[in-house]
Amino acid sequence: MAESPVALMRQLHDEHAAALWGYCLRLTGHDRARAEDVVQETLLRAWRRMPDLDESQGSVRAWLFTVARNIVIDDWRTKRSQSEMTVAEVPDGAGEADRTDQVLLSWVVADALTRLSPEHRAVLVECYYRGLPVAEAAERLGVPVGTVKSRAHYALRALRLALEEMGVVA
Amino acid sequence: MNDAHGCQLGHDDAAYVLGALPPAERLAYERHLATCPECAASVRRIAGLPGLLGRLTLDAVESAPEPEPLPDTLLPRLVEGVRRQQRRRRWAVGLAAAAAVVAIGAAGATVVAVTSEDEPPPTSAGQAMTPLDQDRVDASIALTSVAWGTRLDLTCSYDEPSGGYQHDDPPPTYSLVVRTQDGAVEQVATWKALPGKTMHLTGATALDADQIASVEVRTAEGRPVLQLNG
Repeated sequence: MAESPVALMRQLHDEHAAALWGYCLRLTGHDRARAEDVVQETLLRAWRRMPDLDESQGSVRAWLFTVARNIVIDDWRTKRSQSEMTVAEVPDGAGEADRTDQVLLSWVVADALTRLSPEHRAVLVECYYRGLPVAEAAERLGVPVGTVKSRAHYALRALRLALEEMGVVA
Repeated sequence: MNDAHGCQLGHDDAAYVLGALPPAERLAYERHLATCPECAASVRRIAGLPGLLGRLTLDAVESAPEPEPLPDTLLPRLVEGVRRQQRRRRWAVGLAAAAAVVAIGAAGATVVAVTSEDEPPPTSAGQAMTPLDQDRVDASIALTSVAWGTRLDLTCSYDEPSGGYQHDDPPPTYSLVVRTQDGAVEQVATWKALPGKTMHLTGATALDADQIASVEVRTAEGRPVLQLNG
């Protein structure tokens, strides 16, 4: 391995820290100090696994998101077992994790949309969010109907790819 | 794969799943799907996306929040984390050498030794750690303030599973972490549990004992299994 360990960490940081930071802010309910700890711990774990992680089949980003999520959920469980040991509590960690997953999933979709080109995003706004048929979308966007169709086609492919990278769709 | 695969309707898949084709075109496209496996496969690949898009409202999409800038402290902390880890790795190599010396016969040395259960532990007994889950691992730990920080002497045993032990299973890996009063987490040791054996190992941190809020044993996945609050 020619690269120095610090260079490897810088590379992980440059490629993934921004996305992971956004994700961890949501995970922690915008607790910036905690989010930074989780990002740090996640990237250090990733760094320790290099180069295996890089050469594995899955996306590195999906791995990072999963690890960050587990760190936060483990922390809840620990807190609960500290503070509520004597309380017979019905709701369990799974419920909390599910709710968080719902919020996160919405954020992941929003984040994936921001990665699309403005043209791709615009066509999804017209055809999906405004519910317009292709002809009206074409008029509003000032392009031929065929262009709306092919932009929508490539927009959904790009969206799927972005979601795959974040581990949402297989 | 060519997107259009030579098919005139090859780009209609998205407009179709988004519900943006006018009725006549939609019917024609559905008839086409019955005869064109490529288009049918392409529709299947994107069929789940409208459901995900539906998690957001038009307002939310149009006012996409600006990404928040990364904290300036993150990269320096990561670099420091890498350096610390490397120092620890070098030290771990030194520990392994020391352990080899212990095995030769320097009984009572404090560093790292694996003993069978009937041998007395080399360090004084510490406080029992509280199990957080139903794992087969038990441990006690003693924290000792020393000039360079805090020494953590851990005595840890991992039960031999009763019957049906899968010898193919790799031994589980655990780590010892300390959590500081201000919430930072530092890993101070990792090891493989050997079924039926009691292990004595020593972790070290530059933190003073009164900076340590709690000590945890965690699995390789980071799940805490044992804990002691300071």
